[in-house]
Amino acid sequence: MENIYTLTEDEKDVLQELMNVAYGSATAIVADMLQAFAYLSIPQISVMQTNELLKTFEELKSKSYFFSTQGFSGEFSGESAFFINEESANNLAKHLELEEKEDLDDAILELTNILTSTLTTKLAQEMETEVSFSLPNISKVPLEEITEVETFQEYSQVIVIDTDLNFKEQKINGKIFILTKDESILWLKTKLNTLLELLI
Amino acid sequence: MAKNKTQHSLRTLDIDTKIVSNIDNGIIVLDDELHIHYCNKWMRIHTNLKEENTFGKKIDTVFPNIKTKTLTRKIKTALKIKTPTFYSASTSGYLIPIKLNQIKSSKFQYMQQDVSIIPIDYENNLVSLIITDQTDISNTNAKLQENILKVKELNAQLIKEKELSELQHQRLLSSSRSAAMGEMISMIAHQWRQPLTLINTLISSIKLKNEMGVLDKTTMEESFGKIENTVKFLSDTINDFKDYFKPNKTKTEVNLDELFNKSIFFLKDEMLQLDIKYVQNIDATISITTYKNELIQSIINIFKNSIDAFKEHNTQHKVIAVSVENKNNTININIEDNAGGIEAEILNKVFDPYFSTKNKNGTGLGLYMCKTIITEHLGGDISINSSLNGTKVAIKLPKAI
Amino acid sequence: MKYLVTDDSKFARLNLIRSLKKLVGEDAPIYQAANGLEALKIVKNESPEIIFLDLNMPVMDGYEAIPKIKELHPKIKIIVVSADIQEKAQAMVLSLGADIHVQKPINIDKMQELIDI
Repeated sequence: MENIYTLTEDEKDVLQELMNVAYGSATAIVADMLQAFAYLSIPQISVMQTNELLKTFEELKSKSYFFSTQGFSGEFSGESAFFINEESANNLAKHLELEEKEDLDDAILELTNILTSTLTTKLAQEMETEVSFSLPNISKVPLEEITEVETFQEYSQVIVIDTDLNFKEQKINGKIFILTKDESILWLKTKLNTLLELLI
Repeated sequence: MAKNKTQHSLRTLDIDTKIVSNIDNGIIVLDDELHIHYCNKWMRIHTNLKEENTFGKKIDTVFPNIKTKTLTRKIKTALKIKTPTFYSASTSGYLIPIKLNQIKSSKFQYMQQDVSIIPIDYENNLVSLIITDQTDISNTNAKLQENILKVKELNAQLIKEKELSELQHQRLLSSSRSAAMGEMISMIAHQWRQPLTLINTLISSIKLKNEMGVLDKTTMEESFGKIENTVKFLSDTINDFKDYFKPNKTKTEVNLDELFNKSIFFLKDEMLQLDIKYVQNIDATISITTYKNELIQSIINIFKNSIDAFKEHNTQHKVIAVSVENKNNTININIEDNAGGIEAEILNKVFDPYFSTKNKNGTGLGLYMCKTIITEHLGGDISINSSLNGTKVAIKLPKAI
Repeated sequence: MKYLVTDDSKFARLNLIRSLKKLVGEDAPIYQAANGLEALKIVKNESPEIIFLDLNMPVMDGYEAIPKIKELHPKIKIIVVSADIQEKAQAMVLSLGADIHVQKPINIDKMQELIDI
């Protein structure tokens, strides 16, 4: 059976470029929030099955992760997942001069929120649609338990937009995954092709 | 036309106002320097905010617990990215301190809140804070977490107990083995007593005849012959015991008739002494694939129990009878005696470890070990039945494990 | 007037070229490069007067390319077009020799502004 949930090279190119721009804005805001400089990396885009996605987490070496998610809905719907390891989280706390442990969780939630909101809103704008966001939530998950995390079981096919958040000097690094469900992938393809057609 | 439109918008405005007044959420409008511009009825009811003395004031003067750095940051971010930012009850607890005066118990003293910070006016840098009571959910979550923890603990305990009981089981088995070894050794001793006596007698006889000068060559050679045979018998006994005592590493095809013959061989003498008749009714063609020595040990154990029962219960015509039924994939072995039976209360304990009715020598491990061997290693089943007359042990075994 | 558009994304290049063509006409000579190295080749061979340059590219990125381009062709006008709008990035780019830094994507009015300068 032909897999309809794949992106062509051209579609990927467009999506990558849109994400690039959205990501630039998001990072600038986060950089502002942290009063630090972010090294922008190129987002990697791929479409894959959820179980394949989980394999990519094996590359993440740290023992336990802060893992926060935020859902968004509209014509374009899905969920974002943000991973940050313990070391980076502690550096974030130090950098923001946070006093209590609860504040760190809150800061990570905020980081997720800003990243997702900006990314997804910008993306949505380019596609001439609107999205609304639900409350982000956070959990501290040891690497072994990631496969049991419910978020990943809901999606069969996901578009994975894999970007690194890189504040080199402050040693704060994270990874964002934007996950969209099957129907949204189709919707996305339509929109991307519309944009491509304008160029012809 | 125009009039209707105006009326319609006025009505809508009225509805908006009514909603804001009656909604079950707190609504506060702040600017990016935390001055209060508006708060709704819910806020006034739940806190001590009064219209007169709050407008224009900074929110942290009314609620000193609020961390201004964080709130300011969130408000400025919301205005900058033009989408809402949040406080989550699960990480922040509450923003506005509202004491809970409920009768039903709660883990929390203050209302737990989710707060959405929504940009509403970019010119004047205004945001609207929407406060939602999440106390119930937070309580449920807390209970859930507690229960999850409990379950994890119980699980860990169960695993520990399982390991412990497994350890005990292994210890019991090795005790059984030692006890069985002890029994075997006493059987060897028993087996050897008479032959050794015979050798002694023959040697004494030769010595005497020699001293008396009446030892002739024929008598001597006869005696030597008998001694050699007896020594061979002693050696064979040892070998047999050694062989049958080693646990098998591999399954072999075993002819049941021969198997029982071998088993009974060790107990022949004792049975003769006690005048126990042995009846073996086994089709000579029946064979199964199993661990030979382990099966022999179990059978010997069962025979020994019958023999010991006869020692206590002096039936007139003592009989031990063995028969085998040949089924499709299994065989049923029945070992029956008329040694007086086992009382009902005791019957269901016979397979328990450390249970014994024998006085001195009973270690009580025999049948426990039999059951373990038959069920765990030989893939079969063992059951025991009793009447006033005697006891019947039934062993079911697969033809191939 | 010759133009060079440098970006690793084909979509980005085509998008920019579309806006550009609306202002300078369909027949204007517009060259394309997918990274800094390719851009240098074209600068050497064709000497374009205006170059639109992305920062984040493989092989040779914008930061590395700017001084090299200026060395080859000091009068060339370098317009950095990037997703990275952090102030520090802007400052870096200008100090390396670029003339102006703008945020992607460029709309028609902005494009007009840039070309007129």
